[in-house]
Amino acid sequence: MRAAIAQIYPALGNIAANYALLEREILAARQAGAGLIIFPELALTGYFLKDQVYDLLQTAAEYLEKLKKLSADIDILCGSIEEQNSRAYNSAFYLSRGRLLRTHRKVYLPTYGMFDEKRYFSAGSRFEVFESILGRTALLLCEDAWHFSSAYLAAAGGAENIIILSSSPYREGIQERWHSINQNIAYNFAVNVIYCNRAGIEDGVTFWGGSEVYGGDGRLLKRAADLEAQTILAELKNDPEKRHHSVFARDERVDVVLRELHRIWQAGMQ
Amino acid sequence: MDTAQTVAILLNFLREEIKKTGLHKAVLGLSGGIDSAVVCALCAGALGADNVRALCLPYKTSHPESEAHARLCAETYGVPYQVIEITPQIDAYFEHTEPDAPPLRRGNKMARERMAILYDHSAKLGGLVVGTSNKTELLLGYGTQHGDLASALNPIGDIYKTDIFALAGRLKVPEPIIKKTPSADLWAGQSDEAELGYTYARIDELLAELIDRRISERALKEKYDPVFVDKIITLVKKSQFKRRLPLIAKLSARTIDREFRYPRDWGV
Repeated sequence: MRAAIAQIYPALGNIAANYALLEREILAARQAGAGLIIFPELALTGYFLKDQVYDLLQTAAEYLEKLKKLSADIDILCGSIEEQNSRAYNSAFYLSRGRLLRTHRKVYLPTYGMFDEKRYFSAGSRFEVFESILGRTALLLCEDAWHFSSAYLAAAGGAENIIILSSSPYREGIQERWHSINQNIAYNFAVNVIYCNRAGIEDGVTFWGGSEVYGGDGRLLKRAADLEAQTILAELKNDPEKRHHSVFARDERVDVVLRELHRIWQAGMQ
Repeated sequence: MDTAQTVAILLNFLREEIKKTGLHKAVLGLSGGIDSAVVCALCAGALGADNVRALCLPYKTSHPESEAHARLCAETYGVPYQVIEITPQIDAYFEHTEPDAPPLRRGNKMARERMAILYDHSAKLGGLVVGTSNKTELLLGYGTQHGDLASALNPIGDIYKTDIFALAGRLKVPEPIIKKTPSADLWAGQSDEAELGYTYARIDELLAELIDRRISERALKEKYDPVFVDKIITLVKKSQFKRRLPLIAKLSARTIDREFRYPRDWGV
């Protein structure tokens, strides 16, 4: 299955302009024979929205409806803001055949350093696995991947593919951290890892790009350029035989993990 | 520091953040020193030399070498430049109203006069004023508020002075500018390091521990001379106001910058 990873440069707070950009990318990916196109975290809105989160919730919902219509013959995975019961979420939407197939709400909202996500968003609480065009798939949003338990739960749920939507700002050493996280997830859980980061700059903060794809053996299959907008295509396949040889799939003791976590938690470690 | 990556990021920063405001030009003051030379090289690389205006703004006591190096820098990067002497207005002010002002006040007035001229040229040319203060200066408050510390955007404000030298090498800043003693040149013979009492190498090493690695004051005093640590920490704390917007007395439920929070790139 061919997937397009669209490392785009969204305009901050300009949903109409971003929709037009997404539409162009979707048409190009379809022409390139891709069955799925992946966009970064908050691709429809931009990242450092601050108070604009509340201003843009309704417009974002309207444009998500428009985006659904573009998913008739290519699946679309896109980050945007979402309102549910008067709460705002930083969400990833998987659209297929004109419908919303799955939503992942970001579980780990970074609120430290330059990040202030808990100020604006409520947290999701699930890492679900669903059947996407790639096979069994779990979605992570950026910081989710920095908690190894996220990928662990996805893998325990049977994921063959973990797709990470990201808006990662540049600071010294960040690329190596991400490459290491992505490769470790792929290798440890024998899953395809697709990491889609964005490019561009907001308020002096540069998003460094470098989107990449690892196969289930931890091998780097494809990487986009650093710093600039670029769309790459990757051929993904699931290799059940390899997975059977992975120590995680073969030997992992989820029952032990569950019991031990419970014991540790009860002992007051939380 | 990965200078290749840093240059790529800074070129994009200048190009994109200026473009978002609807402009494509930059104005900067050239002191003849290494910081403004680095910023000049970056602006020329990001916007094209013809879209940059460099102003050299000497006072009668400025070292003649400063103007010569400003000229050398502008010519190296092909940036159009202009020399405007600020002596008449500075002298008029102090002679008539403040004849007893000490050098520090005179130096601050000169720095503000220069910035006033840069902002006038910003309006004249339709370009943004690009800042030339590095991270060391900003942290120590070693600059004049509303003077050289002012700008619309600053590409080098997160780079320590010692790293500026590495960047200058990559950007091919002329040797004489890299090699000379850093000075604000507000009065004859002024030297940054003599005035601060420590070399930039020592100061930057300490600042990196304190600011970037967040090592505690206590631990730093075990590793470095406690007098030195005290002096630097005091400078950083006492100059905090220079790095912030003015305080606003809170009255409403939604005070600017406290609850009313929008990115600078709002609606651009």
